[in-house]
Amino acid sequence: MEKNQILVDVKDLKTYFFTDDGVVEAVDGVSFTIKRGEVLGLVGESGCGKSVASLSIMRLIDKPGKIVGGEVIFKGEDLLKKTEEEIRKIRGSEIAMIFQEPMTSLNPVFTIGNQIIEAILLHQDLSEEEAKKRTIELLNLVGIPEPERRFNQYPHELSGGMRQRAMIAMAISCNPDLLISDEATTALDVTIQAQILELMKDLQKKIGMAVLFITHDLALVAEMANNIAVTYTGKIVEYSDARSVFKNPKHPYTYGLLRSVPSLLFEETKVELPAIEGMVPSPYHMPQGCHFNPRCPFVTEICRKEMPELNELEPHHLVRCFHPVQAAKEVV
Amino acid sequence: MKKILEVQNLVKFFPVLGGVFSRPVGWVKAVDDVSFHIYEGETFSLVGETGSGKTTIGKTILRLIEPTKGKIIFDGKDVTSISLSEMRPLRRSMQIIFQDPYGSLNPRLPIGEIIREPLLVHKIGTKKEQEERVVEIMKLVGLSPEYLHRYPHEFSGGQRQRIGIARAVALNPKFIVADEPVSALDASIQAQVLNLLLELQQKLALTYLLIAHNLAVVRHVSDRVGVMYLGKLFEVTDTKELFDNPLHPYTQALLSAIPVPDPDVKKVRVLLQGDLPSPINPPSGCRFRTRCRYAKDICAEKEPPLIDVDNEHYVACHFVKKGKKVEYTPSL
Amino acid sequence: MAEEIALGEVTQTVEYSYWRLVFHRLLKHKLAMVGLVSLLIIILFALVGPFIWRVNPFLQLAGGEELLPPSVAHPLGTDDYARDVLARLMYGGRISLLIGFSAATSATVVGAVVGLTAGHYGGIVDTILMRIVDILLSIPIFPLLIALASVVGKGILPLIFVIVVFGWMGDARLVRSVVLSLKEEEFSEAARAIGCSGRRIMFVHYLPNVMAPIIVSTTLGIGSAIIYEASISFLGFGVQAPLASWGNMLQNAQNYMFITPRMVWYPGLAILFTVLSFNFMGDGLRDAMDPKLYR
Repeated sequence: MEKNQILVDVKDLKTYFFTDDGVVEAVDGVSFTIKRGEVLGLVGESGCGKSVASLSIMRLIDKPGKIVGGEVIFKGEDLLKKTEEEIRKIRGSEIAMIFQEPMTSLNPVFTIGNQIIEAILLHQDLSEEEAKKRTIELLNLVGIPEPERRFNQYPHELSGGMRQRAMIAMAISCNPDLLISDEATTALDVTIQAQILELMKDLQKKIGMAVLFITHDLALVAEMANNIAVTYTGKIVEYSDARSVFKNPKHPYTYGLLRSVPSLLFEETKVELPAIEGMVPSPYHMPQGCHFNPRCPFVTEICRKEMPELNELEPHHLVRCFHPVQAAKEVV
Repeated sequence: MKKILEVQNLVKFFPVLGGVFSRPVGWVKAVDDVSFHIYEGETFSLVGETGSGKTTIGKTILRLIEPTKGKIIFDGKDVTSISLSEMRPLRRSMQIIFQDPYGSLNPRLPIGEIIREPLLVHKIGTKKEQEERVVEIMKLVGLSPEYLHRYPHEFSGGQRQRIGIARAVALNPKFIVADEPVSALDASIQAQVLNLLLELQQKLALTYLLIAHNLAVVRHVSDRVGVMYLGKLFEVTDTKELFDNPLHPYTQALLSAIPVPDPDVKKVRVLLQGDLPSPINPPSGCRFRTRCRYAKDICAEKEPPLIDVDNEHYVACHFVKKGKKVEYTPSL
Repeated sequence: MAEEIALGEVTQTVEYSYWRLVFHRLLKHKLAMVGLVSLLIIILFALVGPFIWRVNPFLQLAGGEELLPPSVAHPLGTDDYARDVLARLMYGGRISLLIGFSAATSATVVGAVVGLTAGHYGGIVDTILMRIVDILLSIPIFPLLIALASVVGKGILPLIFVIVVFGWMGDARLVRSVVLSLKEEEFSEAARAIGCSGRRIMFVHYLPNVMAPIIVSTTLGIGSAIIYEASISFLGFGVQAPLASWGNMLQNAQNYMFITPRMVWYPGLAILFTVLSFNFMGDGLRDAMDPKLYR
């Protein structure tokens, strides 16, 4: 297992939803790579397509959605071309996913011990005895105290933070190469979130797994990610390493977002924040040209007519804009 | 400065029903002996995590939830136990903005009617005058009056929140409880709504009780902040003072837990052990002692009172004395 | 002035009211459309038919004309009193449909008011009302129906009364459960925060949100009201001769079942198709009004 080897290479992924009211281009030509052991942050607001992208990688898209184009190369093979059975072998063992609501992702009628054992036995050739031992180890690893006792408890007997830890235990039970975390800490209290973040960082180092960290929270991604892809209405608008995105944002959306989100870094109180005007467009009424143009303070004629391509502005810093933000402003 | 609201020893317990005859078998001590005051014209924020009781307090002040014990004095008048019909005229002065932009508007009423309703219920003005006022308010909150006849589902989350705000200011109240007004909104919209709240406060001379869990938002809009934990108020002071000089161990942990949108800032975290205790059976003495790294014996025996340690900086900890003298030492 | 949001402000440019949305969805539901079309045919048959087929349904023809098979003069033949069956079927349809509609609507109104009250006020009011519902529901219908009918007398109005008495409970429970969930919604709290009275909350806030299940219930209720009517008339109460209703036509046909079975078919099939159509429509409406439609 070499570091710096590309684990996931998503090329021009397109997932569309064919609804009664029209076609929603939820993911429209998204490309990114994740190296082994790396954390990629996928940031965006509602409607940006980040969750759909992750579900597409796991081939969990159902009608009326359909993956209509692109490739998802995982360990050298295209996941989109695999059969359902092959994908099922990969899900849970090589690629694992954790979600926002552990209460709904865990089956309420089975104990958590049972559920984790099930995950293990599905993918590994262990006896039930061995699986149980491994499960207790895992519960310990994720910081659940008294794991033997918790093993026999049901999800509703655990607190939100504990449940999320249990979910993480299930996810890492087969030592996945890639963990997809889809807003996994959004529903948690801030102090619990801090615990889970530290846990994830810790595990990531211990196991060496790569993480696709999906969130709308810029602060989280600053802390967790090596690289960041900023998405807006189904397309990546900026893609670079974390430092570059925060210190040197080139896309007006990223730039606007960084300035408008309240954070502890702002010293002044009761002063208006420079807000981004307008709203995220409805997928059924997408503006012509660059999707961000109605809200962009730097908009020009060409922005309203054509969609810009994702260009490499500086080494390893891609931006989808006709006039990227020039000032290397220290926004933070 | 005049006090517009005084809360004295407020208590709210919710019964836990059980047994064959649904008798109370326990009590959720949601708010347990909380006292604070709010000055006219300021923004006072209550922060806390799940189970802190902050939302319950907000709703109890408005008598949407009936208090169990204690006193609520609004604008000099004791409103704790007056009848709901005596309460009605007072509602012109005290209003609420809800968290959920999707659930807080009746889906079957056009927004013009939603905003007009407070005027109708309190019989203010003729129909024509009411309609004119609705148009005036819509413009005030940034909604185009031509959409009077549309229904809530046709608007985005941010716009619906504006409708909720319009409804709240329709009667020209003095005091508004804003219950997590931006938590459910997209990051790029939060700033817009926060700016609107600031603007309205200026224009309409409003006093806000802001209930939030996001300390960054709180820092941005508040004059004073109160930190709550498991039904108790632990620290109250000016915003700047709270963030510069948090005295209560819980406040310190809370602040250190918040992620910061800057990858260069290395977070040194005070991680809280364990989980939130049950509000039905909170720890004896200081409720925070089970997770506090400075806890000593006295913390289990006696509950620390909320005292003014310096110039209206209130703290409830045995080891923080008058003159801001901090005496806690780490336990093993 | 707060920044005028320069946007495609509202997410849809067409004015999409709830009912329009429902209408569109209904049009797509095949079974509902079948039901709707056949209902229209049936209603036209009963209402407009007699203006086209101008034959007196009460007119008894000369002796010897009884129970004639279908002919040009009498496309469905004649009944045991030498009356034209087609005309009777049309007039009978009017009666049955009228009874079905008014009984179902009245039952729904009563049920809705009870449900709204019980749901909103809760506590002792709720307990009392729901126990009444429970009691009425546990009484076997037909024996009591007959007992009630024998008390209130025979005829159309008493018939409607009886159907309503036995039909409102379902709606009450339905409305009550919807109201209980609406009470948890924040807009109910908002209404209280503004200072709305209980009555205003029930009728301005809850009622419009309860319309959907109520309409579905009424539609399906018409079908069952017609069957009730048929049953009661069949037993000899309800619509009295010489008035025709599908129910009493069925009752009449009993006596001649083995001689002229078609006398059973005509009203029987009429009832069958009508009730089926209402049921299809009801299903379609229920799907079209599904609250997951939008949010």
